[in-house]
Amino acid sequence: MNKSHEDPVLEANLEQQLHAALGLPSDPELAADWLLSQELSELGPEPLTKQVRDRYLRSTRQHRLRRTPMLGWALAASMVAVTILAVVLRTPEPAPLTEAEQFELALQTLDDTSKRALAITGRALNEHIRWPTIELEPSPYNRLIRSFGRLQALNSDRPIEPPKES
Amino acid sequence: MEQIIDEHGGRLRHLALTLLGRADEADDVVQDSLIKLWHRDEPLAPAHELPWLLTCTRNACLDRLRHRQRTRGLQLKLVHEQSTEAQQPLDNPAEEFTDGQRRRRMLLEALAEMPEPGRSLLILRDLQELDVASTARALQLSENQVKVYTFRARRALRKRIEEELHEQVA
Repeated sequence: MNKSHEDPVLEANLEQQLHAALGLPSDPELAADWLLSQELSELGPEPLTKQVRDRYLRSTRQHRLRRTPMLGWALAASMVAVTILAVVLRTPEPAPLTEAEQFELALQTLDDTSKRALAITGRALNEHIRWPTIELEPSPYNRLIRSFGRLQALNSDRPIEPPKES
Repeated sequence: MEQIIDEHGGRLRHLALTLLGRADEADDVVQDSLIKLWHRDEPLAPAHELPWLLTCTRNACLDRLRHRQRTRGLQLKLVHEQSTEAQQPLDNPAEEFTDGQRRRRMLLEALAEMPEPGRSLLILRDLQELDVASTARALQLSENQVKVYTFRARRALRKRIEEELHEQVA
């Protein structure tokens, strides 16, 4: 039996046997263990007296009550904070417009919208339309025109002479 | 909460009282454990309530015992002596205790001197007759450890009692 100190498997088995045994085991060591176990079981818990039970109930209830107002306060504080935030962050309602202002606003909106539409359409079309490059053919009379131009310029610099009397 | 107190209150108080040896402290510890259970964010399954409460109560008791040892090692002895005296009726001297009462006191004193976790195991398994699974959960041990350590603790307790009896006879 002393070997049991070195063998956890045997000890576990013996412990199981001890608890399953309905009477005194034949092994003297195990019998002594069983007797001690029986003796210890007589020192088991007794039901709570009414006084102790009431004391436990009272203390847990008091704690619960103490906690409930705290939760209430926390809830109320969060509600107030949310309300304040909502009031502060709310955008002011705009004043009603006069008829002229409404008309102007409508025109402005139309103008803005059409400009934007034109810009978008232009951008979209530009991607797909190939604009023609228009180049003029060189004129065959270029030189004559240029010399004529120079002559005109020279004539304009000359002082105007009065017409001769015949 | 009423149901929990009715179902487990006796066991919890018994564990605390056996470990601490003082009713006022035992009641404080049990109340704290019940309040902690109430404050738990996640509710426990009914089968896990008792092991959880036992763990909580035992831990609090061991904390108190450590605190006692640290701060007032000498006072502990005095308090124990006083409480032993207070338990004796004035008109009933120690000699008039029955053999059963004397034996009971000796067992409890020997148990109180046992090291952990053997002491808690004997309280839960032998005194309270708690099943292996719940004991394992309460003490955070495997079921095999519970069996082996309980067996060893009982043997150690038996040896201690036998030695004391030998001393008394001598």
